[in-house]
Amino acid sequence: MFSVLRLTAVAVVALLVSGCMTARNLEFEWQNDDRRVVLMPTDIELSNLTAGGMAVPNAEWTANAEKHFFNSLRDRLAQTNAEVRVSNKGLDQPPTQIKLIKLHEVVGNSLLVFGPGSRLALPTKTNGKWTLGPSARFLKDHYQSDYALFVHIRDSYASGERVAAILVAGLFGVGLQGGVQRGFASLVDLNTGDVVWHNSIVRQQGELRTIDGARETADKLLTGFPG
Amino acid sequence: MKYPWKTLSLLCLGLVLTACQTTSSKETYRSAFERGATPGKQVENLDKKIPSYAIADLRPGERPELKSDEAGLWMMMDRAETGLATSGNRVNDPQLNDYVQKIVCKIAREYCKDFRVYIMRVPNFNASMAPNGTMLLHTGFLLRTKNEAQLSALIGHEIAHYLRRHSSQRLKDTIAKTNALAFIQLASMAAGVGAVGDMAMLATIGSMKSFSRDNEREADGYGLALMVRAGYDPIEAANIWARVIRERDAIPDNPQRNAFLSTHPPSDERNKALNDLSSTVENANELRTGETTYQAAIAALRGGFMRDELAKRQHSSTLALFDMLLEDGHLPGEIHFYRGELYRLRNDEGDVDKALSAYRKALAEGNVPAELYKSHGLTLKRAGKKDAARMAFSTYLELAPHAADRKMIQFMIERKL
Amino acid sequence: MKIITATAILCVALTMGGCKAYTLAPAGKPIVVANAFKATPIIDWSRVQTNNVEIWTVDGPQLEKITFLSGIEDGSPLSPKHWLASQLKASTEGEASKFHKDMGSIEIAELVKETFNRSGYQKFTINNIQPDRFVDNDGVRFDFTFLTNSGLDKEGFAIATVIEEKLHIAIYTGTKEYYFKKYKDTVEQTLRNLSLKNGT
Repeated sequence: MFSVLRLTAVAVVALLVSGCMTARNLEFEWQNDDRRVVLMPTDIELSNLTAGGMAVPNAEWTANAEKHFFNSLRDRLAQTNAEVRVSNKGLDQPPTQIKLIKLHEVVGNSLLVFGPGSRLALPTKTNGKWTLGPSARFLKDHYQSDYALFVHIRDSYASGERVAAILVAGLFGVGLQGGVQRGFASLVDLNTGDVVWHNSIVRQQGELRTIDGARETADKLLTGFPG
Repeated sequence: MKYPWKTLSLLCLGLVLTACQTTSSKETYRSAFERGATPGKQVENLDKKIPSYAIADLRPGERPELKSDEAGLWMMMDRAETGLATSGNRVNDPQLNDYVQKIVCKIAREYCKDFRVYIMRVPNFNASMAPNGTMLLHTGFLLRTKNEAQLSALIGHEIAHYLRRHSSQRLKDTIAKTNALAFIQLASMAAGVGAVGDMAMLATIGSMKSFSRDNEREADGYGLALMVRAGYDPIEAANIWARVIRERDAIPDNPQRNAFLSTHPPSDERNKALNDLSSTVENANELRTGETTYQAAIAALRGGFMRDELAKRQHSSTLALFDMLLEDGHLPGEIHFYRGELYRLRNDEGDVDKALSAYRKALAEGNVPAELYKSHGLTLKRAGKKDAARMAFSTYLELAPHAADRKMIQFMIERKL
Repeated sequence: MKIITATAILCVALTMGGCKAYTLAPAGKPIVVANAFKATPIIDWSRVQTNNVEIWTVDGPQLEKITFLSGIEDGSPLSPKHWLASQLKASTEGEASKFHKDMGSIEIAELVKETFNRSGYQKFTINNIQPDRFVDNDGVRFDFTFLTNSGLDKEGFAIATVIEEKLHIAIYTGTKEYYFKKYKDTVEQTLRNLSLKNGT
């Protein structure tokens, strides 16, 4: 069964990745009053980390987290006087949107791994300028928006047994991974496709299952978001 | 397709009456054996022989309860599905997709709407079913199956995984076993005996895999019932495995697969078990194989599947596969061509002659792609037959004037390279 | 999920070279590339090199990159360690295709195609193969398109030649959307002016 394999892979990979990534925050100020922001499909998945170290995805938590997190993001954006729109999700997305999301994954990833502050920073990328290119205009026309906010979150929680295992392992000097929260958000100017603002988090706490926790995570992820 | 409908309904009645007398496996809901669902005694015999866990099938359109681990699996696959649908190696050909989806519906009946099939361009004999009804079908399977009955056997097998909720069963099993494993490892570390931890690990992996093999056996049997119910000759399910065995045996020095670590039962066992099960189906020879329809459905794409097969560079098993396809006898010119391609790309001692001979056979059969003339030319050139090579190249350009390599070929003709 | 996988692949790919950092190849300054070629970058590039393999990028190797491979000998595979093994197990089962000294232009293009397929890329399609010059020798140039496993469209071209039974090749790839086109002209020009370090 490949899904369980993939989950294990995700857990292993999460460990690897945290070594390569650093938080990144671009300077950005709203240029004018055109602040219509379309919220791209929030890519959230919550899992329960079992004692054996397997991440088991949890549908109920994810459904709650999506609701809470979306509301928190919308509230947070509302504080900036932005007008929030919601994009289509899943298979209802127009093909160009799917292409842009795929490109954003690679751009966001390049930003984390090769951007300033990373151990692997490219000498040609010190200016912090990243872009999705002019086809981002599609979203401007399709959603009547000026900006798009892309959000990606992965969250796992240690189950009771896992916490016990971590404690026991600690006694013998063995480090086991507890729950991890990783995510990033990018604000893209739909006139140019440029990533005008970006932030990421990788941490061992964070709670998306409750309203307060989701709010805290949304705030953390949008730290430095232009007010 | 001849169902003895009258006797059938009588038999169904009999089935319902006897249902009360049978043991455990009958008490849970298993859609393939529900009243009215079966065409008759054919499936009744099967039911008695199929191993089964006391877990109820999902009902048509049913989704697991949101709080369950099973719902977590569904959620994850729902998300992954967007990725699959737009994945780089998906086969988008509408006709082939329609054809396969139609067969899925024929097998799944009232569950038809619960399944989405994604045909993936992977040259492997494989398919898989995700817990939410996302089915992956590899093109390597389509290349290897001979007829619609064989395809139905595979689809039946995968649908059985879904109905019998094997992913969910296995997830529970894996969580339970990995939890125990973490503690055994820690305990043995505390005792200063790391080796015990390693043994425990091996035992755990072994035990998870044996659970998986049991699932596969159940899916084979249940899938057979589904294909018979849809009117396909069950012997074809066993025949698939005979073909797999033939390919496997063609690999020299093939290390015996470790039965303990294998997720699937050995092909020989599956072949025999399915043979035995099909022999209990009455009048099976009146059921369909659907060879002509199947071959027509894949004809336009088969060359591409063979090209992908060559990329594996497992020459001995690929040659055995091409032998089997030649015996089946559909579009032999195309098969000879790809056989020639195998030799040309392998380029071992004597392969130039073997390639030339295969191309000649392809030309004799006719119905070959224009590309043959280019490959023929390249091989003739390698054999030092430059004039013949140039003739082949010219023919290629006549047949494919807009080919991507036209300029290069033209250059080779002019410069007498 | 895809980002995690992509990041993991990158990290793994990079840690294989000991998380080797990129250094600057500034515009206008002549350098030796992949231990074999002389080049003068027209714009600033970030470069990383191991033996006969060198990669140049501006925005990140997943967005666009030039891969230089020099002096591949008869019987060696094209794929260096830097190209990660396929995510599709099937295509990695057999032995990798290898360069043979008697290969012609069309066979070299086939070799590149097989190597990409093996590296887990999808639907690799060659659009144009034509005679060209590379490092002051007769060679071949071809354009191609392919998809990443997650379905992102990519575009590229390669230019290659065989000198004294050894293959020299440069491959430029980038996302079809924006990045490939962004540097295509400067890459063409740089590759046209490439020469062999030790003369021909």
